Amino acid sequence: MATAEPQACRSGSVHDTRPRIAVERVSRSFQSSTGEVVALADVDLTIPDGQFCCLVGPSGCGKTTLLRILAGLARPSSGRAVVRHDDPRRLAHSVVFQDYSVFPWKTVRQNVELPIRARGVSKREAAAAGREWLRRVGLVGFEDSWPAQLSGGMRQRVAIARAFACDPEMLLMDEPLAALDAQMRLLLQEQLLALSQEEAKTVVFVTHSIEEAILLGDRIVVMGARPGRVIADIEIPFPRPRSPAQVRKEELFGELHEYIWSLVRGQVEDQLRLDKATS
Amino acid sequence: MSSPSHTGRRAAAASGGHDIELVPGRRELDPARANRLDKRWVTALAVLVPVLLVSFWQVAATARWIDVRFFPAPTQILADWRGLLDSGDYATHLGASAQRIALGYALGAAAGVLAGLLIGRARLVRKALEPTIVALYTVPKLAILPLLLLILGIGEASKLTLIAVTVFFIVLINTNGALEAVPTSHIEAGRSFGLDRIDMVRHIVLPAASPQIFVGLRIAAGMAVLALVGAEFVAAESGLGYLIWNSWNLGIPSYMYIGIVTISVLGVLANGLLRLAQRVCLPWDR
Repeated sequence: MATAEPQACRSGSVHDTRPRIAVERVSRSFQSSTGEVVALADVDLTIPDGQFCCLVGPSGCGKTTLLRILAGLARPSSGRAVVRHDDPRRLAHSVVFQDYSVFPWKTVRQNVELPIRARGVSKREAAAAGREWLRRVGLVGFEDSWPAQLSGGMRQRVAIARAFACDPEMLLMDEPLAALDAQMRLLLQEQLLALSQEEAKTVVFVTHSIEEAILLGDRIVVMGARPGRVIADIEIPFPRPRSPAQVRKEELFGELHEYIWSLVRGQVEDQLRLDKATS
Repeated sequence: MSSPSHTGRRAAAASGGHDIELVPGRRELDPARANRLDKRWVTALAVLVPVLLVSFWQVAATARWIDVRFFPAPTQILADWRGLLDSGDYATHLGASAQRIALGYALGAAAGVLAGLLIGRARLVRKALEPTIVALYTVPKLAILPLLLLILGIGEASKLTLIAVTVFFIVLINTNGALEAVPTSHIEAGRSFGLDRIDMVRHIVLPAASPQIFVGLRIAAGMAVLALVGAEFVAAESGLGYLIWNSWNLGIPSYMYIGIVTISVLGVLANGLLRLAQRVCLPWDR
């Protein structure tokens, strides 16, 4: 991190300097009917505590696979990844999925309270934490609604509140805003930015949107496809606390956007050529 | 123009005669009224059709268009029903059947859901048992009644077991299918929040599967009635099945109709009860 101020205010525990995530030569391949597909090839990645790290890349670059490995939902085919877990009473991480992960049979309040209660926290405390987080994502008055009664943006806010409310040591987000319409997406970007700045937690954030990655991240890891790998690792120099409007005005914002797009664009074009060659 | 002139835009006069005019109809202009009328009509028809059918039957019987030895007039059936009621026989038969089906169904359904959850959560066990379960499911349960009579005797146990076994397999197979259909995203969300095995079933697997489980429970209720009547035909001294079967020996056809109608009412009630239970248990599922 280049800027001085965020370093101090965003580090979770002052004494422990071990990275939050250490990925060492992790590969992952899948068997498909046409043969072996290498989703990740020899990925090395170290994420320090408190960093907001965005994974950007074209479809098939393995960014979701990497996140799923970090979440413990998939295993590497080779190599190893270490996720730090300081306090066994807390979750090492919680995950916000793209969509469809809010349980339709639980009310908004019950959805948010479930992971808190699963940790053995008392009903009263869980209710208080749930209420607080629903307030912070602007869902006051919808506590007893069923997810089916909410809009997509509201449902995703439930998912975000749920992930934050159980106070995990780290947040893993897999394109949490991808299914939303453009305006709702802008709004939730602002909310996420504010929340992440207040909470100072490590966040790994997978997104297709370069702009979103620049606005939110301390760092952008650009990934390439076939096989999935890291092709660039870029530090975002905008100081915190920042706001989207502020960042968009910076000259550097445009340059960064252009640079990252040139990297991703090459990947997407390769993919087009490959698709044409195989068809 | 067939629709009222105030309802919408007229197609531009200059264009030809093939323009499509898009205007609101009666339903769009006053949806509340249209729905109210709909509801009234639906209710009226639902009541009217059976009333008409029974009236026609009554007329046909009185006019001797049909043979009243086989098709006694509804008024005659009603009179015989009153006789059965007064003698207390009706209550005996109804009570015996209701008790058998309630107990047998509860046993079979509870065991079916429980076994389905246990088997469904363990892949190896499921793979090991699946062929056997399918083979047993296919056996018409009435075919094992003689065996049950042999093992358990002619008492209540054999009839309860027959109903329970019938219900068990239907509920088990539906529960298993329901578990397989639980979206991975919900399972993974649960796993990522560190839920243990019990919380996983309680908070995620069971609720996610329950709409499909209820389908199995409703199908099983119908099959339970079938098993009940079958068992009472051959191996009972009481119950609605016995009433129907025995009326053939006695030559009193109206008892058959009383038994049949009572059973069908029982079936409708059971179905309604299950629907109500589903609505109460799964308020999120519409």
